[in-house]
This record gives sequence, structure tokens and C-alpha cells, in this order.
Amino acid sequence: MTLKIDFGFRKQFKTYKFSLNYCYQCGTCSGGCPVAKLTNGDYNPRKIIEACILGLKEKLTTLLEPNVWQCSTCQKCVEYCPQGVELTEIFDHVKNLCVEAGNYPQAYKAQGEAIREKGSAIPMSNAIIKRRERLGLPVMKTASHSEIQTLLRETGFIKKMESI
Amino acid sequence: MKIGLFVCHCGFNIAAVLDIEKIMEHFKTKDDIVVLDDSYLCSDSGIKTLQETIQEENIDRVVIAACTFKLHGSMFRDALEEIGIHKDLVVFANIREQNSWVHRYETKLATQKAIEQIEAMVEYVKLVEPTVRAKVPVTQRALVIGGGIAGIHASLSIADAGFEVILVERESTVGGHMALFDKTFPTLDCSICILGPIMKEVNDHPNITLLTLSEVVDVDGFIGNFKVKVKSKPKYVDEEKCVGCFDICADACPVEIPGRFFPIKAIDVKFPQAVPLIPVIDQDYCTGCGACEIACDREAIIYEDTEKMRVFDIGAIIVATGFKDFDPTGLREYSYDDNPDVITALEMERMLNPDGPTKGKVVVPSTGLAPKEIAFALCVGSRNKNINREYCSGVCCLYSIKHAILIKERTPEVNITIYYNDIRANTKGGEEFYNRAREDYGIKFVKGALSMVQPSNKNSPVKILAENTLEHEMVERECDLVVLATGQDPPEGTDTLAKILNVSKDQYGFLLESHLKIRPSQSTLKGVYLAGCIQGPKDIPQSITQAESAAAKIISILNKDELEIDVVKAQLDESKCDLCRLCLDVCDFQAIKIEDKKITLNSANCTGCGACTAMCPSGALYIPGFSNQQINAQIHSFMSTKSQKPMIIAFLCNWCSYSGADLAGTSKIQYPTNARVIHVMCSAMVNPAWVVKALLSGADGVLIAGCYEQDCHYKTGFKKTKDRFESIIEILNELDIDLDRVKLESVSAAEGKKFAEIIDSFSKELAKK
Repeated sequence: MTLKIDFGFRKQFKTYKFSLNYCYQCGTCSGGCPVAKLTNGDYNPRKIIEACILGLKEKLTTLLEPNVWQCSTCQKCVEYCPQGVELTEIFDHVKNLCVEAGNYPQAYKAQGEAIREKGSAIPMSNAIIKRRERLGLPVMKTASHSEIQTLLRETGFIKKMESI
Repeated sequence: MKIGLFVCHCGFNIAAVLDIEKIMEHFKTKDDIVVLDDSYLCSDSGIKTLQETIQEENIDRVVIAACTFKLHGSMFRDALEEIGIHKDLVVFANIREQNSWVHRYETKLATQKAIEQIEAMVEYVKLVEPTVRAKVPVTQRALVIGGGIAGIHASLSIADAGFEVILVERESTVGGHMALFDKTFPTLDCSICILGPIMKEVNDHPNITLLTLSEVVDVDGFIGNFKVKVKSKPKYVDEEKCVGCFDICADACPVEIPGRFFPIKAIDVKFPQAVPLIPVIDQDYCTGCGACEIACDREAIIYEDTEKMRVFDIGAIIVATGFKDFDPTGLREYSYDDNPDVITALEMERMLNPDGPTKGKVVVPSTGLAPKEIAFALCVGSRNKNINREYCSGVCCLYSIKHAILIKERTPEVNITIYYNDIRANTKGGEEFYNRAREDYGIKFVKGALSMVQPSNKNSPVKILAENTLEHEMVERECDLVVLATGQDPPEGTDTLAKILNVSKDQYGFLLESHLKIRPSQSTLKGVYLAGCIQGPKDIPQSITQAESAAAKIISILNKDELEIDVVKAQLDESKCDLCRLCLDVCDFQAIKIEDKKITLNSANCTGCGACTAMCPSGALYIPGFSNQQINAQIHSFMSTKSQKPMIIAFLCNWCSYSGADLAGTSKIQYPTNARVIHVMCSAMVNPAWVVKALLSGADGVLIAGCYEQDCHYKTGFKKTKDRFESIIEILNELDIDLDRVKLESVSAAEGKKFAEIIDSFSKELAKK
């Protein structure tokens, strides 16, 4: 298939002040990426950046080649990048566009729902509380649910969740 | 008085942005002004037209609206002096670096700014009083700092031309980095075979005085007349008596100085080909056991040797202090700190050297065995924005290829892979060298930077991670040896040296050239030249080329019996002086004295910073070209139109900030058109009265920009500015003027971007008011 170059997509990174243009494709990010290693290069942060530079929006957000959702946000690539490219920030933007295209793993949506309903992504189960006790960790404080809901409403998160 | 105004188009550089016709129209109608434009004023025909027009029209004062005066200023002044126009009567409106290049999309505003810039210069030139040009004798002796390949070449070139050279070297031998190498790229000729003979020549040359273990500690004076103080550390060995057999004393010495790849004794030469071939005692390690004294049959050991200070009169200086190998210690991804089998390129150089620690055998440091798999990581400490080294090292591709070839020649069975971003074989014969490595030697090249070096559990000691980006393949490979191709850093002590010499540094700490293209070997100070890596990363041929170019420039200075110098020195109008004595304390150079109830000036001591003139309440003290009247004329001219709001008057010091503003121009960094620049020699000469005058006559903001305190050309100038800025604040407080309308900043000659940002943010802040 032919891929279209989306110039608007490319420009978005510029307006967000992302450091995309500094990338010289050295591969420091991909070489050290744990997910790239596990997937034998199927997931490759360098290729996502390359597609962003080339303006290949479709490839990233529709075809998921590579699949940006596989990024574990460990920030290793950001730490090692010699050009100071904000890879994970750029990926966040790509992920947002994926959501708009309806292309996202259900688990992410489920997690969003959990935050909306219970105020946290991973609810405190008795097992967790007991394990923390055993390890001598302090009691976890939970944030006020209503406050979180206000935040989610004001930032437009809830609307977004309903629209997708 | 008839003023000639000459506007240069500079091809499209100025004319594509500024409306030259409108500028010409504006000045055509004025009395006593003759206007002329030319597409290239600096060309041969441009100069000719300039000279002819001046003579035909009987013009006696000249305003040239063109590039920065720092570029072609002296060329124009020399050309006009030929036809009898005094140099002081030729002034410049900087409409390229500080206008068309930085306001590319603002034709209308930029044209108006240009008209105002020119107008201010017209008003200024009317008030210029020609000074008597001083001629000073030239000391026909050069100083070369640093005895590496660049310093050696520069010294020999000058000495061969018949002038005396003082060559100062910090180490105990000349030769620098090159003396540590086995072979050189791309020809693979033996490094010491081509360097050794000229090291000896430097030592033996009748015109060269070689001072090793020595450093320049103080420099005073100016072009043609520097006074240089050199400190020589004690060697504890009598150079007259020692015959350089060095193994007798070194063998007797029980103390070994640790160092993975440069092991020597507490009394030793740095390497066997050292010049002068005199061992020295390292005081930090010597236990004073006396073994060497007993062993030496020449009785050359002198334990009570002391430090020596010498002062030399010098005409011109070359700085050739080279570079420091980048230290990868902090970069965790390479595990250099905790893995002995990860080495730097310089350590590889030593391993390959027949005189090195392994006698030329390449081994795995942890086992001492021959390696089977070697990886080279390129761009370590270069092309990296994260650690402020955006520049390409310029050498690490080619020396890594050289290393790989040398290893292959000695042990063909070893596997070598070079992990690169881009191969930059940009030297004569470089690309051929690269091809030979691939075709004839079977060295593998992988496009993909080395991401990480990990200790491995199996038999091979290290594992490397990377991506082969051309084949989209993840690389995970075990190696016995990883070589980090480190880049070049400024050498240690460059900050201090820059301060001593009064020259500027670039953003990475290398010394800054006066102009990258047309004055690549001149520093920012007249009479001080740069050679080799101190100006930026270089290979050997480039270092030598620059050394010879610097030497040629110096020979042309030393060839003259006397030099005409720009005399910017304080003058006194006795009739105005009311003996308040405020100037006495502010001068740090003993240039002002009081004798018989009269102020007297010592011109020889005066540096021309003008700090005293800013203190003088009566206007009796002044610097020619920067008197109250002359500066006020510019302020008045800018404010009489006040075409923009907010309007900023910017006082920029000659050495750092004005050059920084010019750099914003050459880098084409865009910023708003709101600032009008007034050139001063030092920020310390900015009189609070000028600031108040500017604000009261309508300026919305005043910017004073000078050097960084520690880099000040006049040593204490910016400090005085800072103190004076406090009094300016007090004055404004009393006058009930908003204090946010004045700003004091340091902008170095390398900070074009910072200058642009300051103007941008300052005009935004002022616009809010």
C-alpha cells in the first residue's frame, strides 16, 4: 500500500516544542530498549521517531507499525539519546492520536475507567495491603475520589473517555 | 564639513531585507550629506568608487553603512587614509549583522531601524575629533604556548624566518598527543618518525628557547609589546650535566607511578623519544630515598632545585595548547569506570605503540590474552547535546579505522566491528582509507550507535547492545574488548589561560577565533593567534595548516619595526576638573595620580576601559570617541524619532557583547527590531548619566551588556559595572523611575543566541508596561 505524508502531523511536533528535529537516527534508543530486545525489533522506538519525521501518521496510528502502545515508558531511550530527543513525550502525542483513531488496547481504556470510577488505576486489594505490611512499607494513602473526579472532568478526560 | 554616506547592498545580504532606495531617499535631501550606494562596497571597484566620490565631492567625514566594523572596518579605514581621511573620521552603521540578518522578515521596521542607525552615526561623526595615532616599537620575539605538533610547526616557521621564539611547554617534553601515537591516518606513516626529527629541531634551533615544565602565568601589554611571565617548575635534574641515559636513574627508582597505560617511575622521561631527553622527578611521588642520586654517575640530581620565574618581552603570541581527550567516566552506558576491558582510544593508541605498556601487542586488559572480538563505539563525547558537545570530534571515525587496520595487520584473525552514526572521512585520502578498511581488511561497519556496554556472565567479559539500523536488526554481542572513540575537549587550564591572555572562549570552552572564515587563526585579541585543537577539534594536517597560517601572520607583525595602534586611552580636560578625586579609587591600573593638586594621567598604564570617565561628575575625563557629548548625540538621535515602542537603548561592550550581537547576525538568529545599539569599549564606561538621559528622553528600556565578570577584557571592568549598576538603581529610585526598565547582562562573544533572547524577552517585558 502507499503511505501518505501528513505534513500537518509533522508540524504538530514542532508546535509542541518536541525535539524531534534533532534526531539523527543513530539507534542508541532502539539498541538499548528492553521492549525492542524482547520483541526482536518488532517494537522499535527509532522507527517511531523516523515515521514522525517523515510524517507517516497512518503508519503509526492506523497500522500501528511499530505499535507505540508497547512502549513501557521506562525512559531509557530518553536518558541515552545523545541529541536530547524527548522520545516518550513524542510517543504520548502519537498515543493520543491513536486514541482519536480508535486504535488503542482495551486494557488502557479499562485502566482509564478504573481511575474514573475508583480514583486509582490499581485499586488497593487486601493482598496488596498485607504484602506491604509484611515488607514494612508505610500505609498507602489514597487521594480523595471526588477531587480526582473534578480534575478528570476539568481536564476533559471524562468527555474523552465517553467519546471513544 | 561634508559627510559622505555610503550604503552597501552586500549583494542580497542587506538589499533583500532593507529598502535601500528608501534609505537613500531619506538622506538625499539633507544638507552636507553626499549619498552613494554600491552592491559590494568592500570589493575593489567598490573601494575605488568610494575613494573617487570622496575626492570629487570634497568629503571630509565618512559614514559607511554595511557589515560590522569588526569585519572590514580597518580595511575601509586604511583605504580612506590613503586619500587623506583620518581613520577616526570613518564610522560604521552595522546594518548587516545587527539588522538585515536578524530582522529578515521585518522589511519595514528594519529599514526604519537602519535609517536611525545611520542617522545616529551621522550625528556622531560630526562630533569626532581626530586623535593622534600612536606608533609603538615592535619587540621582534614571538611566544608559542604549547609544544605539540601545532606549537612545534609554528615555532619552526617563525624561527626559520629569522625571529626569536620562546616555546613554553607544560609537560617535560615537547610532542604533545602526536608523540604518543604509533601511526597516523590515512597514510599510516609512523607518527614518531615524522615528529621526532622536528621535535629535535625545535630543541636545537638557535632561534628557539624551549622551556619545558613551564607555564605562562601572566601577560601584560598589547600587540608588539607584551610582557610575559613564565613559571618553570623544578626538574630536580641538572640539564647541563644530564646526558639523557635516563634508564640508570629510572631503573634505580623504586617508585612506580600508577597509570593503566602510561606507567613511569618517579624519576623518568615521559616516553623514550622525549625532547629534551632529560628525566624529571615527580615531586608528588618521589619519596626522597636517594637511589637515583647514587645511581647517577654524572651527579645530575639536584634535590634542592627550585621554581624559576622569567619575564620576556614579546611581540606576538601563538596559543597551541591542543586538547584533552574526552573522559567517558561519567557516562554510565559505557561502563568505562567499572570495566577494565572498556578502554578509550588513547589507551588503544598506547597499546598499539611499540613503546607502550604492551610493547605494541593488543591484549584484553583483564586477562592479558589476545582478543577475538573487538567493538569500536564512535561519537563518544561528541555529537551529543546532552553533555554540551554538539560538535563532531572530526577525528574519531578515521582514527578508529586506523586502529582497526593496525590490529588487523598484526592479528588478522580478530573480528572487528565499528559501530557508527555516520562515517565522516572528511580529509584527503579519508574515504579511500575507509573503503580499504572494508574491502582489504574485512572490518565490519554497523550503522547504529553503541547503546550500552554490559558486563556478561559467560566467558567473554563484556556484552554490547545496539541496533543495526540499516538491516533493522537488534544487535546483542559478546566482545572481549570495547574501544570508546573519544572526542576532543579543551585542555585543562584553558579558562585560566584565556583570562591571562584576555581572549574569548567559545560555547564549549575552546578559544574563539576572530572570524571563522577570514581570520581563522586570529584570536579575539590583536597579536594573539591560535593554532591547532585549542580553536576546536582538528586532525594533524589541519593543526599544522593552522599553525603555519598563524606563524605567517606573526611574521608579518614581527617584520615591522613599529606598529600603529588604536589608542583608546583616557584624556583629561583640566579646565573642567574640580579635583573631586572620585576617579582615583576606581582605576585599578595606577593610571591616575594626583600631583601638585592636579590630576595627572599615566598613559602607559591606562587600559582605556573608561571606568574613570563614568565616575567623573564634571566630564573632565573622557575617552576619545566615547565622550558624554558623543554618546548623548547618539541617544538624542535615536530618541528624536522613537519609531517603535518599546524602544531599547543597548550599551554593548566592545569585546564580548558587541561581538555576541554580531554572532546572532552571522548565525541568523531572529529577534525584534526594538533595540538600538551604542558601542562602548567596556560596560564600565557607561555613565549613569547616559542611562538617565536615555530614559528621560523616551527610551522604554536600557540594556547594559558586558563580558562575564571573570572574562572581562579589562580584568575588573564588569565588576565595576555591577557596582555602578547599583548606584544607577538608586538614582532611578530617587527619580521615581520603574526599575524594571534597566537591565544588566553578561553576554559573551559566543552567545549570539543569548543576546537575541535578551532583546526578545526584554522587549516583551517592556511591552507589558
